[in-house]
Amino acid sequence: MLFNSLAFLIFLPVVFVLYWAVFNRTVAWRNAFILGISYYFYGSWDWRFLFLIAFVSGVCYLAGIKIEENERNKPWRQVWLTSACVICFGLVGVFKYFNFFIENFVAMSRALGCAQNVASLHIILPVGISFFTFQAMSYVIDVYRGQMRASRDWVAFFSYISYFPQLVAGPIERSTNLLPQFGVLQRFNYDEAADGLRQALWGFFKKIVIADNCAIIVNQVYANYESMSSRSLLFAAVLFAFQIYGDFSGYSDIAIGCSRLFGFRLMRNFANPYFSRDVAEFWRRWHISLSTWFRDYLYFPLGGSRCSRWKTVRNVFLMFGVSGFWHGANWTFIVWGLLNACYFLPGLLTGNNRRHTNCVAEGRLLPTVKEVFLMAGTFAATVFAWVFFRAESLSKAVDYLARMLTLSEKGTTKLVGSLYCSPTILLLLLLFFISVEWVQREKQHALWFNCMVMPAPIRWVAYYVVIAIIFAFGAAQQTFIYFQF
Amino acid sequence: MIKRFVLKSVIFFIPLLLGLGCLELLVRRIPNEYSFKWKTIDMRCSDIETLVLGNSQLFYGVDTDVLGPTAFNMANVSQTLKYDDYVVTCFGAHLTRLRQVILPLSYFSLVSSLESGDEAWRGKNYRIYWKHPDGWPIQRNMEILNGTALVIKRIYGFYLRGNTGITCSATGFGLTYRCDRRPANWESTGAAAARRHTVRVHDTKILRENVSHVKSIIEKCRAKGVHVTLVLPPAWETYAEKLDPSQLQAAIITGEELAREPGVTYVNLLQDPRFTADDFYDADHLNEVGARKLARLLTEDVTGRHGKKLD
Repeated sequence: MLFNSLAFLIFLPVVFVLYWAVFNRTVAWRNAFILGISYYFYGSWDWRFLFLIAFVSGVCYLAGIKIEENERNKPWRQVWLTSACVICFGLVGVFKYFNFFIENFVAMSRALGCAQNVASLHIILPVGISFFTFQAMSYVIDVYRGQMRASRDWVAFFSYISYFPQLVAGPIERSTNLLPQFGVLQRFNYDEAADGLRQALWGFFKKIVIADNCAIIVNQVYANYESMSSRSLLFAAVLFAFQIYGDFSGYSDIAIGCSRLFGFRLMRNFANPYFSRDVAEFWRRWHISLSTWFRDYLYFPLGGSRCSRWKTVRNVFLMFGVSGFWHGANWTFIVWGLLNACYFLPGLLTGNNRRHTNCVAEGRLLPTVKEVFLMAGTFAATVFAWVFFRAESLSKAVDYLARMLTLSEKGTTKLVGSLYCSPTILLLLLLFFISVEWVQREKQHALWFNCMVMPAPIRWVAYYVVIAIIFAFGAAQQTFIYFQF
Repeated sequence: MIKRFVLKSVIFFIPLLLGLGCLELLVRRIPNEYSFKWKTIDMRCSDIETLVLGNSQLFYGVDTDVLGPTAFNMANVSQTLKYDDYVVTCFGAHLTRLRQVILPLSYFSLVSSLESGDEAWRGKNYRIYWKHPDGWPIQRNMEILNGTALVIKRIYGFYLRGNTGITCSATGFGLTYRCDRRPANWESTGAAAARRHTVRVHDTKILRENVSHVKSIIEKCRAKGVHVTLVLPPAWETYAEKLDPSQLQAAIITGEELAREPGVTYVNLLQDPRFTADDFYDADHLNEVGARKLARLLTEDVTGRHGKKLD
């Protein structure tokens, strides 16, 4: 069930009414209800994978209890932690990376002159596997570190792993934030619910209007990039930056907004990353839940930046490389990650990586000329790296960039948008989108209003305008990019 | 508190739902190709001798106008064999003078399903205007659930500018793929179209269903003494050369096997030298010149067998 589907628009209000009217009487009832609807939500893709999510939940639930029980027996604690890690990452490895390793093994064998015939498997990737396994692992590691008490309520724990708003594409929640919320009974908060709806509405706008319309042109250009002019290639590369941002941050906004309807607060996942003044700031604002996951569970345990210079470099490359690989079984993602490591390192090594921790142009309407240049430079570097992320293979990415940078006018310059959103209209929509995000950049989301200051009729007009734009220019339903990860 | 929230939400959404309801009513009143073709075949079914079914390759590729008023083109963009079978089922008994059915067995016909592809949104046309019994998913039952933007554009175009959505002739032939509108890069569209038409994972269920639809059409036609011409439509080399050999071979073998039945002809025109660059609109569609040529060629074939000219 996609967020941007009719089925979800029926599912959500029904679940909302049942939740508050019937099930939110006791914690146990409430959690059982959330578990049931979450499994229904996930099972609507493929019910067979419910066994997988239940298995991962069961393993981590048991591991948490065993780790806590063996508080004074470190070897056993390590055995349980390692077992949980091996099982969870092993499942991700089989479902997501098996064919990648087989194909590369065969290619390497051939290069070395010893041909191998190893058949690859037709494995269907379970939706959101990287998200829920990472969320489950964060719990086990937190229990091991003593940052979290092991959960003894399996229904609450299974609900935490499968909580439907963020199940398939995050934010990857931390047990320390989300799991305790399953232990208390929520009270309906009008302002939270209303603001949640506003946030979800903006998420729908980002996904349906921005991402899906950009996708039409981006797909067209990437599928035929050999016959496109440099200008078209550059245009598509820039549009992809907005597509992936609109797609993923749109999903996160819908997830967070819907969750607030049920009284649960999820962590912020995006904080206007394209208004960053350097790459370090970009990574503090982009896919925050994943970046901080790798920081806390990989980078810091390796020593982070508090070790020798050589080890710091190694840690940064490892973190970004693994982060890239997390996105998919393709060398393009790994190169994308490593490229970002190259962007990130100079700032870290010179001690300038925390220069910009506040919001750009804080308290002002417009940025300074220097800030504009810094943001444009960061955005350009990001767009360059996104080409690797989007391309089907490394050779195609390099070819795409080479053609883009030759500044040749040969090839197609005329691009076709959807029936109702030409490239010119799309540019105007992007301008509207960037303007709203800029004006609201210090807020939690772009449709945040101070209800005490702004009268209801004006707010309602704003909502109707956004809904009208979604209806008028929304592209055909497309799946979310991050579902494949 | 929650009551207030629900009440306010309902008040907020009522104007939206009313507005969408009005749009649905308005858009359904606009004539379109599906409603036009359904009404026309219903009215003229006792006159029709040649019936063309299938997808865009025959919608734009068989000019029924040159065959005279006894021919009718019931093909539509992305129409699959399921709906071709439905047409024959609905009108078979009423097509009393029918002599020939032309059905495409394109490269992708046997492996594609309208419901599972990018063109699934077209399914509502069959449900709403052809009364097809398939009512699931719910989107098939309402225009506004399949791109409200398009609905608004159509309403604006019809009520304020007088444009209908009908782009075919009185005999159902698609008129928009004309030589003078041919895109400059028409040859280079071949690779992308071939990629689009090639399935990555073969779904045997879809294949079985499509073959059974073709067989069902053939049986119904044979019962009435109607000749069935299965055709692999002409395509330009930039398209033909990029096709997956195994998928293509499977389509050809199936066509040849079906043609062993009495009253069935299979014509493979994929890279037929009689169709030159001047006959194409893009790499996988003919223009009006090619469409005239193909219409004559397919009906002459039957003329030879039956000994009587259709036009």
